[in-house]
Amino acid sequence: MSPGLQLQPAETATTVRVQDGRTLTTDGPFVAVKEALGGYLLFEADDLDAAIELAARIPAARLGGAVEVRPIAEW
Amino acid sequence: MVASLEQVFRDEWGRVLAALISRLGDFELAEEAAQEAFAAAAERWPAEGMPANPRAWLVTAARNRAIDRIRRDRTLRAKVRLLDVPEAGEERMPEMTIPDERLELVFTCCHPALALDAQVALTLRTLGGLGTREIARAFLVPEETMAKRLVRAKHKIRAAGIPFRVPPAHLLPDRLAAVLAVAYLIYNEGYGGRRELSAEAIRLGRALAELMPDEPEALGLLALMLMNDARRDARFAAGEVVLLRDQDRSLWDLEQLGEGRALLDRALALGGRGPYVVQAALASLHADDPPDWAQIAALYGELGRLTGSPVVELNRAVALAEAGEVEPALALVERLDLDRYHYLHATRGELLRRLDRTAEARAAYRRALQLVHSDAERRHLERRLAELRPR
Repeated sequence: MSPGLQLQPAETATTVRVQDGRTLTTDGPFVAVKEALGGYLLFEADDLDAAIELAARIPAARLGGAVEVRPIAEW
Repeated sequence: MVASLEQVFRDEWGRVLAALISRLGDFELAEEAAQEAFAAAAERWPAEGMPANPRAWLVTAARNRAIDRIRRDRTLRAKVRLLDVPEAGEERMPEMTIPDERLELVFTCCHPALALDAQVALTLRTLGGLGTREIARAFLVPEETMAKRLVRAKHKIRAAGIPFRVPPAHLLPDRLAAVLAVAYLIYNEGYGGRRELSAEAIRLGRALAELMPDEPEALGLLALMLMNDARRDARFAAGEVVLLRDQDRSLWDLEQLGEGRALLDRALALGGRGPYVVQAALASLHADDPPDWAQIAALYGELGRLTGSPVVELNRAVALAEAGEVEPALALVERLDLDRYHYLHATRGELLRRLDRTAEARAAYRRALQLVHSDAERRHLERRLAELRPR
């Protein structure tokens, strides 16, 4: 990981929430991100399904918050 | 010849595209290459005759074009995997059997990380072979809007890494529900009279049932659409909605109804008890003469438990009333939290009328009239209200 790592644009984002043990996925960024950005984690995943499964394990996803999944820009 | 060529194109588009996406790993490149291959076929086949294996011809031609394109565009170095494949002339047909990868395709198109309208558009474009203009027209949006929606969806698939595969078992139930929901949404868009959309949904439903022959819900959905669609010619008369009980049964497509019932039987034999199978069973019972209302009410009860939908409960109330239990039906309707729904008030009005509570019936019909949007339904409600007046 190097400094200045860049995310891809918001239109590649997927928002993940967990409700009653079920993973809910929606297209697009987490709209409240401006008000409440809780943190930033970098993971490597084979594909979006694997990334969503990782995101769903982050506590915020099931505690009423949401996790936004975005790919890193590759150069 | 022209018509049959078009038919081959419609039938082959989804399979050819799926095979290409699987090989190229890139939706847009695959689609462009497929388009070029189909254009080449349209030019050559009428003169040279159709090849023995049109699908293999199209896949090979498209793949060769994609390779050319990659060679031309050096920035696409990531696609080296493709260049390992030995080059083959279109005439030599190296691939005689193209595996059917449409199921991978439809699960990719209906991935929950895509917006629902994008899932629908992408499924119609890729699996259904509809053009952007046709899809735009069907959903009453400008062509440019639809084109952007498709481009954005394809871009997201690539950028976000939506996998091209049938989901693993632990994800399958949710993802299957999403795929079936897309097909049913397309069907319902067509139910109000846009026949080309219902026909397209049935075509998708057939493909899904063929691809998942042991999945009761896929069979149930196709059965449901076929049975409802079998009544298409009887549902409107002179622009007015004709209720099921007043429909001219000689206008029903009995062959299609029978096909739907056979599919339903297969779904039930496979142990299917999911929402589409139950809805198909309801469609089948509704088509009986006279319908077994007690059984219909019981099945609506089952569907209500599966879906938690108050609209299903409203339907259960109607069935209860038809089975002679008007008072319990009214009690059920009055428990439902559907105050903004005109069918609730229309149903309540009808039940009150049957119980000779005319003044309350009138008030309920008036409330329904305040909420109704469709002119045909407004006229229907006004007729019901007028019939109350003499009492």
